[in-house]
Amino acid sequence: MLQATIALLCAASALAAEWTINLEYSVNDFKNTYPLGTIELRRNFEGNFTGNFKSSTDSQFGKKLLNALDETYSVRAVSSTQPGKTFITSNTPCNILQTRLFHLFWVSIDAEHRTLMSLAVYPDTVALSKEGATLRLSTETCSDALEQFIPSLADRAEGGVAKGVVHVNARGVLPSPDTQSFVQKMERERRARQQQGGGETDNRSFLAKYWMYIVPVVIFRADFERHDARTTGRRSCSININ
Amino acid sequence: MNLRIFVLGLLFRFSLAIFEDQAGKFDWRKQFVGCPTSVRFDRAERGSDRLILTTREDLIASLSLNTGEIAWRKLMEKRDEWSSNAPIATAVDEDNIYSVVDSGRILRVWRKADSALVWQKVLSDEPSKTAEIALFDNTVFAAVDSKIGAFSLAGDEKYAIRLSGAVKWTRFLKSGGRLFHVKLIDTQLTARELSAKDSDPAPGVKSVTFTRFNVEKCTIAGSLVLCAHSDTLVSIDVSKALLVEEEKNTAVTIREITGSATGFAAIRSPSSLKVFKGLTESFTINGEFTAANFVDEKYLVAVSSSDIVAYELANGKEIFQVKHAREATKSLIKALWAAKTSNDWEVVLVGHDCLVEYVVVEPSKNLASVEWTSEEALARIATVEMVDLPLSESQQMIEDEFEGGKGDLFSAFFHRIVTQIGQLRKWALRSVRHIFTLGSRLSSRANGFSDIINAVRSASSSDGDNTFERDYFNLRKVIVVSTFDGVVFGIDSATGAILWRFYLGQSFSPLKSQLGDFQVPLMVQRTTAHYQLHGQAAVVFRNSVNSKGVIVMFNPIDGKIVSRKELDGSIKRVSLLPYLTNDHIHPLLVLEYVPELAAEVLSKAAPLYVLDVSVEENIVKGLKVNLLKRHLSTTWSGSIGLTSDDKIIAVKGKPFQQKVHSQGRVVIDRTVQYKYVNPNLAAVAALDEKHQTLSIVLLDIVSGQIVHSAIVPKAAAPIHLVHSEHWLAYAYWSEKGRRTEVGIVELYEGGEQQSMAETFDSMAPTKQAPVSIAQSYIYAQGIVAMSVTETEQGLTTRSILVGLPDGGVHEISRKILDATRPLELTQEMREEMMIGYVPEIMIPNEEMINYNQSVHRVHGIKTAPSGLESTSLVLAYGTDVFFTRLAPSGTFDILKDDFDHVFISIVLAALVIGSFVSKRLARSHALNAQWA
Repeated sequence: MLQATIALLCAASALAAEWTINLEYSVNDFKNTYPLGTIELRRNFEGNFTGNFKSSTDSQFGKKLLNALDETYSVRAVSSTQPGKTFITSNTPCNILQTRLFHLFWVSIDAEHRTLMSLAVYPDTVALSKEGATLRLSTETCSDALEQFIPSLADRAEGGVAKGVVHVNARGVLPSPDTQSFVQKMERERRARQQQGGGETDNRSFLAKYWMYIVPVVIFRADFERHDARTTGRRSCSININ
Repeated sequence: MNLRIFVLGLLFRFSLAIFEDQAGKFDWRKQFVGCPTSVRFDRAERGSDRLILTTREDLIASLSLNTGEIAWRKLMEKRDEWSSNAPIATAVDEDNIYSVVDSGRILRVWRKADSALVWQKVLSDEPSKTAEIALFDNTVFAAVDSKIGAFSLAGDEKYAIRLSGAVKWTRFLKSGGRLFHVKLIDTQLTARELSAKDSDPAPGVKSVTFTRFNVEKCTIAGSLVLCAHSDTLVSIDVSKALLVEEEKNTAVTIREITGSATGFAAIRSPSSLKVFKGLTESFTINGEFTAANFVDEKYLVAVSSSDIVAYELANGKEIFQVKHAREATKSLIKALWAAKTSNDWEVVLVGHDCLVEYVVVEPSKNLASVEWTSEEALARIATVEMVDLPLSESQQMIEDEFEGGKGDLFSAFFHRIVTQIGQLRKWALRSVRHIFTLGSRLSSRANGFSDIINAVRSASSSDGDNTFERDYFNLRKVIVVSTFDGVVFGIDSATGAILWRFYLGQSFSPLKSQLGDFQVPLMVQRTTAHYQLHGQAAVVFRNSVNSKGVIVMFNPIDGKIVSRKELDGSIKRVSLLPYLTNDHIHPLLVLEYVPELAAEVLSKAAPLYVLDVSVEENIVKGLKVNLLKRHLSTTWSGSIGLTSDDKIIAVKGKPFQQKVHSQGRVVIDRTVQYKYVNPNLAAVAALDEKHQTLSIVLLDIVSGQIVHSAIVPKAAAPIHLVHSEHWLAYAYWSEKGRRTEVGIVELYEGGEQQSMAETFDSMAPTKQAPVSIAQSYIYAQGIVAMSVTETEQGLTTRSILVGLPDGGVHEISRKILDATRPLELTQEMREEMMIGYVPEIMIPNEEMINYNQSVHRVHGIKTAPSGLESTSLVLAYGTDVFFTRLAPSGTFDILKDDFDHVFISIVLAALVIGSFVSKRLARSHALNAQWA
């Protein structure tokens, strides 16, 4: 029953996006813009935000990038919580093509105020066309890297649509000097030292505690007195000694 | 047990302190007083004569008249405005100096002889724009915006008069045995007579509307308030029952007006100097004078670009006119003060470049001799660069040899022989010189064996003092300094001596950065590494007349100006391009002016990105500079989380030459944690004073990615940032703890693999998101400046240098200011010499790099690498300048100072000889034994 409730809650939280970021792209410095998709941000059980990218590009997306290899691929974002504020980011079309149109959206947010701080768009290197291949970043080598990729773009219909994952990076709080745990640690160490030294509070009597010091003194004293008595018995010049 | 180890650990901390005999060996300090705003000659009955100065650096100082040395100086609280040219209000009697300081809040009285504080009184809680002080009838009168206070000479308050209104100008005026206080509020000039009685008499307040008042060009002359209004002189006699405005046309453009207590006024115009008594003209001196002042109310002394003249006021007779030519590297005189002694005249000249000259004029011989000078511009250093000295002759020969490496075998061999002959010649010459110096020393002071040994030692160490070339370890450099007064200096790092200086011109004014602070950028375009070419540095400033940018290029070794370029527009930003042109010069990039570069250079150049901050809108932008098409394009933009309440305080990038030696850090389980070393990373600090929040954002300039962002709650100014390698250190005032705290953020790569190990590219993501580790510490002192040491290869553990308000410069090792110090130390961690977390950074006196040589008001610490990996060169500058060498991880590559070369050589030689002798003896002994 409890599991079912949790599952329901999960579903409910998954359904309602807390806020969305609308994305549009351009390959000619925003002279022509096309919709790219939306990023939906949701809060999970731990209170952290996770993002999900929903593409709204047409199947010509890849082709558009291919035709603009020397241009800049720019993305403009508007957050639903900050109307009127735009965020711009860019990358090269070649990088995105190399990763088969897989994007990595690096979203920095202020979770407390629910505001977008910045957005960066990257090619998702996990989706590189070949196993073990690395991203070729220089524009000269890019066309070589694309050669193996171009035929498949035309073939596969879904290959033309932008895909992406979202990495959410929330603003944190920097620590202040941790005096509390340091004091606790010192306290702990002090206690440990005490325990090592004499255990817990010693309730034994004075005699029980210090008999080892008292006994030798008593024995020595007794012995001395006996010796003294013997010498007085033998001679009567003890006064001189004194 | 743990505590014992901890205490032991504290005892075994790095002992970075220097030994007593090392003090002053490789460090030096220069103390300054700043540009004088008022000068008084103080004749002491006992002891030497002194000058008593107040300066723009808000200090009161006493200099020895004969030598110019600082007898004492007192640093006052800095006034609120950055460039307050009004002098600190002071009055002097036989024994004491009375001063109104701390923006008019406090009245302090000092004893002239030894600068002891006699008494002080609080005048007001609020800061004042104006402040004046006067001594009258054994009473001290101090006037600030809100109050006039009358005090007895012993410091008891007699009475106080409350004032109100925004005061623009205020003065005390003594006339005919009466004292008046004159103030101007808006256009209303009010005069009030004051009495030295124990209580305030009935207020005799008079006022008049004075529309033609000009704060800059008004003075008091006798009982007159005298103002200049283009070519007209306007006066109001305060001593009269009714305040009436009178005027007089002078027929000259009035530049400056100076008044005397006897009612004389000197009016300086571009071509003459007119002397007035009241509104009546007494006499005119023709000439282009730059400054004039009265002496003893009887004489007038004035200075032009070539002469110093003196006139008698009573009859307008010339007393002397002597030549005093200034070199082209110096500016014109802006102020002078003079005094007459029985035979000669003593004149203190202060230039626009803050060069203070003390000149003694002997009218009988018609001679002016400069007794001493002092470069007070160094009290306001803007930017510092350290430049290597040029290669020595032998180093050049070696370079020559490898430069032309493409010749055939024979020519290479010939080259080698020539080089070696050259080296041999040089060695022979040096040896001959050594022998001669040694010979002369021995003959002059050889009294015993120890003297001979000492002479040998000093002869070998004193070599090379005269030659100006790079030393073996590149420890001696030229410190090139630009100042806010428009003077550029070259300083020898070995001694602190000024090698050269030049003045940037009368039209100099500093640039204002986007964050609102003033700058005089100084950049080294070509180092002296290219020995066929001279080094080149550039200083950039604003022309104060037309606000356009000016770039002056010069040789940093001898200070010769190579070229001066006036730009067409104003300068928004200036930086050095990371490319080299064909003549090995780093070009300058000036926004909005893009330099013309050869296509050859540009084709090889990597794309260039610039961070642009719009402070008003709090929008941060990344711009891509297209040098071929000569335009800027926005690659990213955003608010980076800054709201309208946030004020950006600092933006810190990393120097493009910075080297990070070790790419990773070995963790206790023997795995490697790779540093996230992104050369394009910049740190932005913004403070929200309303909510007391400090935001720290680490962002990639190329992609606009926020790598790390966090807030520090309950934080307040002052904020200091140091950004280096993979870490950021920040200091702030914690409102919560009421203390200064220092924090550190370290960035590491997320996975166990290093992504982009060879070259870092901001256009691709790291495989895993970078991880940040942060920690903060209590710092039981205020912080005025923060910097980090630099070494040649970046191998030595860095130290953070912290300037303290009391004049110390504290060196904190990165091992102490570390984000990964564990709270609980395990046995393995102890074996790795890790230091456990303690919330406070101790400030032991041994860690002050300037031991007892306090440097006050440090506003910058410049570090530079030397040729030795262990050693970093440090220059801390503020009102004082301090230079030293620093070995943050100890001098692991240097023999100790007291390493006895001579003794070890003798022992070694004795051992070798001994072994030969004993071998011989043993052989003969064996032979004898066989015969026997």
